[in-house]
Amino acid sequence: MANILSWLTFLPLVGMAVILIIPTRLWKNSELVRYVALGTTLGCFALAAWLFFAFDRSSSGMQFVENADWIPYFSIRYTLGVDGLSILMVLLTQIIGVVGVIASWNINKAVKGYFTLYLLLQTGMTGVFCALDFVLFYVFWEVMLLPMYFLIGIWGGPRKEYAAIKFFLYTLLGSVLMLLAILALYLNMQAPSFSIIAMADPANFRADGWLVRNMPTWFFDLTPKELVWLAFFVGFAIKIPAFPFHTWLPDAHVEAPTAISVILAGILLKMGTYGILRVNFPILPAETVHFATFIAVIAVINIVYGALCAMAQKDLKSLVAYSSISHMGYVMLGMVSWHSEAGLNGAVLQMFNHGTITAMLFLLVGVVYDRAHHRRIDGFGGLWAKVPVFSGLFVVASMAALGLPGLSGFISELLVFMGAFASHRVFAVIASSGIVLGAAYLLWTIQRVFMGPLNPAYADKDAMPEISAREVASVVPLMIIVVVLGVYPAPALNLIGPTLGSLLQTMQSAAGAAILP
Amino acid sequence: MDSIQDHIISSVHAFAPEGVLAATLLLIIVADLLPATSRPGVSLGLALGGLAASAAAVVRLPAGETLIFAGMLATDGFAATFKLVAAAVAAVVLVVSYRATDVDREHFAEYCAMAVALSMGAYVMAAAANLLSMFLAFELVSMSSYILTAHLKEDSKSSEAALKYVVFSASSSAVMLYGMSLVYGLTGTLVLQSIMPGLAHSTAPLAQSVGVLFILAGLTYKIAAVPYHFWCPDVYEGAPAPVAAFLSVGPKAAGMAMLARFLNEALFLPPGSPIRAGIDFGNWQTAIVLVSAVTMTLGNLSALRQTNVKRLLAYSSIAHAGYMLMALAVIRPFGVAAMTFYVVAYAIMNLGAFLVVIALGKSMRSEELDSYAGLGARAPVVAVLMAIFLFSLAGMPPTMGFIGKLYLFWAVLEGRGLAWLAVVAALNTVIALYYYARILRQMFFLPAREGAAEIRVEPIHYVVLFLLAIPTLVLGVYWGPLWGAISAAGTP
Repeated sequence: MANILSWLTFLPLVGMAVILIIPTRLWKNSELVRYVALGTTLGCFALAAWLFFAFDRSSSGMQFVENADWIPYFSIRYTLGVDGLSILMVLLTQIIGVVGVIASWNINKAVKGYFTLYLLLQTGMTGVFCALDFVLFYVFWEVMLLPMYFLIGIWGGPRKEYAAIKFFLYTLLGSVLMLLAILALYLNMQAPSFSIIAMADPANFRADGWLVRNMPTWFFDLTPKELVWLAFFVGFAIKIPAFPFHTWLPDAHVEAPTAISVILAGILLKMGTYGILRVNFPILPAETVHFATFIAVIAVINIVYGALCAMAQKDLKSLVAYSSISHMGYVMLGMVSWHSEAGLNGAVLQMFNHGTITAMLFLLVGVVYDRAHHRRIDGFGGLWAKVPVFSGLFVVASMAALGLPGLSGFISELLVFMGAFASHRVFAVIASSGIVLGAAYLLWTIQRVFMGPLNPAYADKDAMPEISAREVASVVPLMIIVVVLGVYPAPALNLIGPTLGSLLQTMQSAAGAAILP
Repeated sequence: MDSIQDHIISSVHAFAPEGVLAATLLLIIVADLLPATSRPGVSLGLALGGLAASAAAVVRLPAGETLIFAGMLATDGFAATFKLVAAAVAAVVLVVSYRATDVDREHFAEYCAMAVALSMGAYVMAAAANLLSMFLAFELVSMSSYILTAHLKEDSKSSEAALKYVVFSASSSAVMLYGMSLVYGLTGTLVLQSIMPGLAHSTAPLAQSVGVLFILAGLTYKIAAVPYHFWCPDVYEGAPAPVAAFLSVGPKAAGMAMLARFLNEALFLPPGSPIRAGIDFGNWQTAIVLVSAVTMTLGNLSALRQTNVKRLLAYSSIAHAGYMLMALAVIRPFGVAAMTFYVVAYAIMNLGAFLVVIALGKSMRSEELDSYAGLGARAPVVAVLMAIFLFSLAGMPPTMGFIGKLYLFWAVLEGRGLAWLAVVAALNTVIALYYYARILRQMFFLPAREGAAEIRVEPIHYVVLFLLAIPTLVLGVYWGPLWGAISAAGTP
């Protein structure tokens, strides 16, 4: 299939155009709009499935590359491609895309606008993971912000306006720094190019450029390369979100509608770590080595601090939000563990697994919120007797999140720790407390919400109906993935292995003797 | 003597665009005197025809730099670009004004005539290569601006704005004129290109600096840069909305062109030049850099708390002047091209944003921010178009504003040791987003107030809005040809 990635990226725009030209008056209940959105995301999913089977698992390079002139004056090109690093994220995006539409089915306010923005978001997200030209990458990166801002701000909860603008400003701050870093790299290229791939080869930089000469600057004696590295890192860290840039996340999550929380946690956070692996690692490997301990420290703070915050939450959704911060810490910790392949593989697998697991948790929290109209953890109790199916699903999702063996979260966390123990022993030991804390807050939550006597508020027959077929349909696909990858992770690991192997080699040779035992 | 006469006569054809405008101006006045043709439609038609004809004359002029009228004016590609921008801006403003509420239809002929005069001034400003022609053009633009601002004679706010404008403008003109007299006294020349060699021979460093600084002060007044920006919000708020739109784009673009030419020809020594002067561009670069950084920061910070959309856009336009100055601080061909590209982008998106204010003014009778509440539901098309313009002003892809900003950052990073300025501008972009998002919040997040007026938008306003929104988006995705044309036009 030619141009599969372009199709995958821009199919949602086609769906968006269709939705825009549907006359609202003819279909009053907006059913058609929803079906168009569902059809579009299912179409994307089908393309992604094809991509999954056609992907060459033995190659570490870019595949399905599309390369065309865009703005020839500055050799800005339209370049798309996927490798082991991005393929998993592209697949995740399409899966979450479908799930999100199902979860959005009960949105009744300005349905047309909602799904228009939703599909635009889908294009932006897929584009970020496929783009190999920095200008294109940046455009997709920012295009994603606009729909997100409106989706939180219009369809969100009580403090939606605050959450929306906070998210927007934080992320824009990161992206403008990234834009400067991109230009700094470009201006030092021998032949003008914005190609992310070409920049990974040091030979493509001008030997007399300030980037290569790398003399310390007046700014805290940091070298230009370190400044560029930091600019990228801050841009990506805000998205992860890494401590201390995490404060936008709980607000955005709590206020966003369910499906948007799912996308935020499932995909947007991954863009941060993806960006670091795609940009900081191959383009500035020596600086990455220089800052590896710094990343590890932040990772540990994320893990422990996120878990402690999660434990203190009274709101189910913000609990899941803080648990995301904690879980993204594992990704960062695994990322900088270079003694074996386990660390990097674990990190990328954890990105995928966290996407599916947290999406489930947010979906289920959304389900209970739709019924109870609140999310206070202590406002429930004994729900197991009332809604056993829902409770069962929630418990399985929580078990996946706390890393129960047999579910996918366990595999990726195990790999991360295998890597981390070899490279950062002390940090790994501290970080392992995050597992204990994770078990604590999740089990405690299960106890308070589902165990004990039924809260009298829900004793009434209609007070808390069982999870509906539509809601089950949004959760079950993710659960199947979680169980399958928990038992047999090879399908995912095979995809990412070769690419991460060569990335690891880059890092090991940059680190030199420093990391080898 | 013959040779000078020949030169002047041969210069006349290169002055055709301005000539056409002058003729149009007279024609509009004469037509208004005749009862048969004294109608707003006729004035508008004449003005648009004149602008189109002069734009055609600009395009038909042979390419390549020539100085006409004994070095008074330069007719190069750079000037041509800015003349076309000026003509297009005037045409858009006039079309919009025809159906706007706060334009006096009884005196529409005068309005058209003044708009044409302002454009003619802008033409000359873009081309002026001599201190004298600079000053004359500057005054022509200023005079027509006052009259346009005071266009609503019965409206006290309009008159007040015009009065403020006159006072500020007159003093800054005087300062500029004084600076010019100092420079002339030191160098004995008014021709821009001879100023630098002339200053090299002078031995009065203080007078040199004061002279040049005063000229720069006058120019920063015209583009409403800090510290000469105080007039701008008051004038924009008081002036009829279409005039505010015009002032925020037309004179500012012309001012940028004149500033670029002055810096490039009078102050900038090409590397390796035999002249070694006491002052050169390096000294002035610092001044421009500082003015740029302060202008964008102060403009953006002041915009944060505005509750009137016109004032908010006024402060935003101050900030944008700061962005543009940033590229002029590195006045090599790329910086000038980046600035020109940004001026084009700014003209389109800022006119678009103002036009939304104008189009809504008819139904809302208010320019207060909170009267925009719930606009997303009340007038979804206008609200979405406004969102596009605001995102472009904020510099978000995929709009033209993003590409413009990309080139500005690019130009600054190419300049040595100016990375900090790029960081300041980047942080400013984040601040700016906050106040643009305040408008978005009113439009999309808040419900309409009780008894909010039903929105009716003139068809012609819809047409122009779309004509501005389409390039905002299209040039944000595919801007290659436009960049090609602008960089081919070259530097002043």
